[in-house]
Amino acid sequence: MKLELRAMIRKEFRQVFRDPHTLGILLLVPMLLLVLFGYAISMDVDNIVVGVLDNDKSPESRRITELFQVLDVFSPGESPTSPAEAEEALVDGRLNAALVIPSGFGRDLEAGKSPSLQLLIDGSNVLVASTAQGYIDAMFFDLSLRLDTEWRVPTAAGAATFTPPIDFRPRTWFNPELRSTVFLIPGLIAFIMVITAVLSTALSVVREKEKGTMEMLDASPLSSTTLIIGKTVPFMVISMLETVLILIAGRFLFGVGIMGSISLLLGITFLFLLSCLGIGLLISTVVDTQQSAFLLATIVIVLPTLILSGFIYPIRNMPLPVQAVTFLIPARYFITAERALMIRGAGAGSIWPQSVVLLGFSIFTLGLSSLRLGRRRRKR
Amino acid sequence: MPVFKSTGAEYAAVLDSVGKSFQGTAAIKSLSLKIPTAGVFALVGPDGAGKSTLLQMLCGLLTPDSGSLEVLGVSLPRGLAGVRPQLGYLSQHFSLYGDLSIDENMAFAAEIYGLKNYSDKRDELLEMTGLTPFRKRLADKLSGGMKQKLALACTLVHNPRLILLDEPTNGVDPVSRREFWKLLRGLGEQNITLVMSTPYMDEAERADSVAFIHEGKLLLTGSPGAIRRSWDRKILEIFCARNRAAMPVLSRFYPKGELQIFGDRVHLAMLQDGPEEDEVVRCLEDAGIRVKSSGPVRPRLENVFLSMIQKEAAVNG
Amino acid sequence: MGEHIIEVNSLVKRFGDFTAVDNVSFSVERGSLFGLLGANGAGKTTLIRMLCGLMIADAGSASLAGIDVLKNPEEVKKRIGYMSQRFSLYRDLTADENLEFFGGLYGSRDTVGAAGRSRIFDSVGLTGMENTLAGDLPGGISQRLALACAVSHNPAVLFLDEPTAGVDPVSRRRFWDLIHERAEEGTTVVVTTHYLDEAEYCNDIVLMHSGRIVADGGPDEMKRRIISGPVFEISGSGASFLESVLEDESWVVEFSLFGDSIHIQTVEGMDSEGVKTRLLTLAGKTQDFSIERITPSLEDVFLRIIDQSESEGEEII
Repeated sequence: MKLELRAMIRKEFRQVFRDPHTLGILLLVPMLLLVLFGYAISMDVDNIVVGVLDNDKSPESRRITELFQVLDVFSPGESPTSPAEAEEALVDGRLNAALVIPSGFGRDLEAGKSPSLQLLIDGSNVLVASTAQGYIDAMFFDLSLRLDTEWRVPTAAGAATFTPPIDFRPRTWFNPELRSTVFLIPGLIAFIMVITAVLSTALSVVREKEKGTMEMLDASPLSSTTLIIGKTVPFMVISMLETVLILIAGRFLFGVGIMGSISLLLGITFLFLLSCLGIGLLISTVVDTQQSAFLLATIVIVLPTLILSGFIYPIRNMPLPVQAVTFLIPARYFITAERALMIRGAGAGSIWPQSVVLLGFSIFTLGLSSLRLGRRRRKR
Repeated sequence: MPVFKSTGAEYAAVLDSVGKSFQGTAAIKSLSLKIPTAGVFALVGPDGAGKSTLLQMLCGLLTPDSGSLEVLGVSLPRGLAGVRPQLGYLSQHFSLYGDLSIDENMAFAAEIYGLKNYSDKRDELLEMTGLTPFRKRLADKLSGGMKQKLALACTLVHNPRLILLDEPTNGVDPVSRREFWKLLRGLGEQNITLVMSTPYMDEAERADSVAFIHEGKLLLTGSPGAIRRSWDRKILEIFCARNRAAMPVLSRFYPKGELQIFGDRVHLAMLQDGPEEDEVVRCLEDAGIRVKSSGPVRPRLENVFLSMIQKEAAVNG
Repeated sequence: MGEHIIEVNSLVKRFGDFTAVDNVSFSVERGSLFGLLGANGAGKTTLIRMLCGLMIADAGSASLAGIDVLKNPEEVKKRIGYMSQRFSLYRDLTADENLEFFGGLYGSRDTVGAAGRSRIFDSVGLTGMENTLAGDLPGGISQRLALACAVSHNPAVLFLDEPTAGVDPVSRRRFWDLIHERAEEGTTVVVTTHYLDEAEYCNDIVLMHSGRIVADGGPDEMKRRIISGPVFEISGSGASFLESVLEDESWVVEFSLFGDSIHIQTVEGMDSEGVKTRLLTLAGKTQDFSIERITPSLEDVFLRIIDQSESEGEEII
C-alpha cells in the first residue's frame, strides 16, 4: 500500500478510537436506536377488542366468530345483540371494532351468493383502526384461500372506506404473525447506517476544515483520490462491523433471522454503505462547519430515509409525486433488497436491480465528491 | 445618565493574591497587581498565560477563587452591580452583530445599558472613530480595522471609566493599529483607564504601563522605560559576513552572554560590566569573521521579558 | 549561493473584479530566510497558495526548485514543507502519531520507524513529549512539533505562516534558532506574516500592499533606505509636553507617541546633542529629557511606505 494511504487510514482509525464521542456515536447510538425501535415503537397493536353481532347463528357464522378467539391480536369483547348496542359500545370505547354478520349469511354462502359482512371500526385511533382493518382483511383473505373449496369468498364490505392496502398480502405470507419487528429490522439497519456512515464521514472531513488540518493535507502531495479512499476505508470497516452487530442483536433480541444468503446481504450492505459514504463526502464538500454538515445531512438524507424509504411508511401509500422522490433515496433500494434477502430468503437473481442502482449511486456520489474536492484544492 | 464620579483614586484596579483555576488547572496563581488610574495599561504574555482570565475577572465575568479584587474602589464580586455601568469590555472577537448597521450596533450597545438619550454620544463617538460616513453600513461589510473601531465605540457609548480590551489589535494591519492606538491614547488623557491584553511585545512598548504575565503569574510591572532601565544587561548589535559562524565564537568569548540571531545581524546581550564593543569586534576579526558594522542598541521589552522567564525557570529548577 | 530556488515573474491573481496579486515578481536565493510581509488582505496568502500549488495563477509564471508551479503543482508539493498559522496538528493524536502521519503523507521513509522519529524529536528538542496528545502541548512545544512535521521529508522550501504568533519569547527565540539551523543546512525558508517583528529574523524581505510589492531588501538596509534620518527616543517628564510643539518644527520629519516616551525622526545629520539643544529651546530649561538614538522597527518602515504610497495615490487621483 502506498505510504500516504496507509498513513491516512491509520490516522483515521486512531482518531475514531481516541475520541469517546465518535466511538459512542458509532457503536452506542446504533444499539440504542435498535432497542428503541425494536421495543418501544413497535407498531404492533395488541388487544384489539372486537365484538361480533351474530344475527345468523349458523355454523358458518360461528366459525368466523371463533377466528377472533384464535388470533392473539384480538381479544373477544362483549357480544352486542343489536346494531344500536354495537354502536354504543364503540362510542363508549368498550369495543375497537364490531363485526356484523347478517342473518342468512350461512345460507347465502351455501347458495353461492356473495353474502356481505359489515365491519364497524372506531377510527379515532388511526393506528388501531388501520391495524384492525388490515388484520381482519388479511384474516378473511387467508380464510378464503384455505377454504376456497369449501366456501365461496366472502366479501368484506359495508365499511365504505374499507380498501385494504395491496402490500398487506405478501406480509401475511412471510410474516404469519404479522410482527412489525421482522418488517422493521431491515429498515432499521438502513436508517442506522445512514446516520452513522453519512454523518461520521461528513463530520470527519469538515472537522479537518474547521481545525485547519485540511489546509495541511491540501499543501501535501496527497491526491484527492487517496484522500477519499483514506476517509472511506475506515468508516466502511466500522460500518460493516456495525451491520453485523445489528444483525446479531436482531437475531437474539428480536428473533429476526436471515432467510437468505448472508454473503449476499453483506454484499448489498457494502454497496449501500459505499453510497452513504459518498453522500457524506459530498456533503463535506459543500459545507465548512460541523453544524451545517449536521443540518444538511439531516435534511437531505436522514429525514428522507426515515420517511420516504419505505422503512416505516409503505411507499405505495404515498402520493405519486412523493413516490417519484423516493427513487432518489438509496435506502429505498437497500431496504427492498434486504427484506427480500432476510424475510423472503430471495436469491441473487431478485436483488440485482437494487445492486446496480446502489452501485450507480456510489459511483456518482464518490466521483462527484472527488471532482469537487479536487476543484476546491486547486481554486481555479 | 451615569454620574461621572472623579474619585481621584490612584488605582483603577487592585488585585491582591488573586487565584483562579479551571477544572483543577490554575490559570492565575496568587497574582497581585495595581493598575493606575488613567492611561493605557498592557497585560503582555503568550497565549495561555492567563491574560483573558484576568480581564474577565476585572469586569466581573469570572469570580476569583481566592484573594481579593477591587475595581474602581469597589470590592468584587460583591459590588459588581454598582460598578458594572462604569465598566466596558471588548472581547477578543469584537462582539458585533454582522447583520446590523453601525448605527444599530451602537444603539443596541447603548440600550442594553439602559441609556435613552444616547444619540449625541453616538455621533461624537462615530466622529472620533471616523466612522460617520459609513454609519448605515452593515458591520459584516466593514474592514478589520473599522470593525475594531466600531467595537471600541460600542464599549464607549455608556461612558465607562474602566475599559477592558482583550487582544484588540489581533489580526489588524499596522495602519489601523496606529490609528487605534491614537484613539486609546486620547481616551487615556480623558481620565479613562484602558486595560488591554496583547501577545505582542512591541505593542506593549506603546502603553503607559505594562505587566508581564507568564503561566498565570506576574513577572514584572512598570512603565516601559523603567522596565528597560531595570535590565541588568546591554545589547551589542553586530553585522558580520557570516552571522551563523559568529555565534560559537561569541559564546566562547563571553559565556555569560545571551545570543540572538536575526536575519542579517546578531545581538549579544552582555552584563553591564561586560566587555566593550571593540573587544568583541576584535575577537570576531581574530577568528576570521569580518564585522561589517556594530553598535549598541536599545533593549526591547522582549529582552527583559525573556530574562525574567529564564530566571523564573531557573528558580523553579 | 546566489542560486535562485524560487522565481516569480509577473504573477497575477484576480477574484472577480478584485486583483489580489497584481503583477508580482521576485526571486528567492537557496538557503535564505525570505520574509513576505503585509497586512491582512495585502495578497501574501494568495501568493503563497499559488507557490504551494494550491491555487492557479491567472497570468505570469513561477518556478520552485526548477519546477514550473503552474504546470506541475503536484511535483511542487513534494518538495515543500508547509507550517500553517496556529500549527494545524491533530489535537487528538499524540506528538508521535502526528509526526508519523505527516511523514507518511509526504512518503518520508525517516518517519516510518520509531527510531527515525525519535531522531527527529531529538533534533527539535521534543524528546520525552512523544506520547503526549498534541492538544495538551503548550504553544511553544506544539510550534516545534508542527515544525518537525513540516520538515520530516527534508523539503527544499519550507513555508511558515505567522509561525510565532502568540508564543512566549523563550520558545520564539528557540524556534528561530532552529529555523536558522535549517537554513544553514540549505533549506530555503519563506515566512509570511503581518506581524512585522517576525520579519526581523529574515535576510530578505518583500513588503506587499494592495497586491503589489512596495519595497524589498534586507531588514537593516531597508530601514536605512526608507527611514533616512536618525530616530531618537525622548523620555522623561518633559516628553508629553512636546506633542503640541513638534508639529511645526522643520527639523522633525515625523514623531510618534509611545507610553512614556516620544519617538522623533529628524532630518539627516542630527545627533543627540543637537536634538537636546533644540528641545530645550522649545520646552524651556526646566524640562528634563533623556535622549537616546534608536533603530527604527520594520513597522515604522512599513507605515512610512504605506503613507508614501497612499499620498502618491491621492495625488494621481
